[in-house]
Amino acid sequence: MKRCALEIGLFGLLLLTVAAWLLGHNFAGSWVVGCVLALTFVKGQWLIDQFMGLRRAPQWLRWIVSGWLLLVVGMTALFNM
Amino acid sequence: MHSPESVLDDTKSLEQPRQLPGDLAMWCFILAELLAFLLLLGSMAFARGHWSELFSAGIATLHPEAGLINTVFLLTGSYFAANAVHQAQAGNRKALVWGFILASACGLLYVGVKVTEYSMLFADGYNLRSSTFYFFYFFTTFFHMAHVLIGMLILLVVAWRCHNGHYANQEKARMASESAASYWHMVDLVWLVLFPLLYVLP
Repeated sequence: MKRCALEIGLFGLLLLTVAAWLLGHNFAGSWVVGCVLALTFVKGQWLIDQFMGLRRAPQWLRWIVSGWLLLVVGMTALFNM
Repeated sequence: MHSPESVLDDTKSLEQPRQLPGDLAMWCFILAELLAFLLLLGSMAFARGHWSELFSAGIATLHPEAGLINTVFLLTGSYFAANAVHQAQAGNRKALVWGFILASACGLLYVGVKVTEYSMLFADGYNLRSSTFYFFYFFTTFFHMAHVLIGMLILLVVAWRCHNGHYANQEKARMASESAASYWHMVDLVWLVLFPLLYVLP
């Protein structure tokens, strides 16, 4: 793993968290729901690939965990937009 | 332009066979947990859309800053756990022990904030039976917090065993540390979805 990759990962995840939080508390509408959920998916996939290390794991496992994330975020979007 | 080091890293990653991070049994356990959370979060997402006014009123009584702080704690904990595994792969067991202790400390801070939030809601007269929203809120977050506690226990047991030289070789230490960290990351992943549902979405 490249030097500082985990630190950059943490910083990126924290930045996206604060961005989503500010977006959700300062704006309203379906587009906000869409943006916040898109950020949630990006954060989740980032965690799966970098912290969980599934980028270098067998593909079937990465697909299952990423599929789980997509399904949960998709259901939230479907019922709340 | 790539530095020689980054080119070397890329070459290594191409040469390395794809490897399961941790034990297969732990991954079966993690996938079963994810299935349970899928049903719970899916039901909550449906209820949130179906009883939107009830949920909006309920969400207004929560403390969004607590949700944000807890996300910071869990992400930081995940960083410590991932860094500890990275150090363990390089044979640095002391860093593994301290990384897992720090990750557990982040979990403890999360539990502290959550318990404080529960006590404030109880003091305001809300409980599991107050409404459909509070049922989902208390049930889901308590279920998740129980997993945070289990994750902390797993991390501390692995750290303790590693400290006492229980693992005969580096491969066994790597396996145990990756299994423990994978469970911890699963708990964090679930929170990343729960967080917008309760504290962010308008």
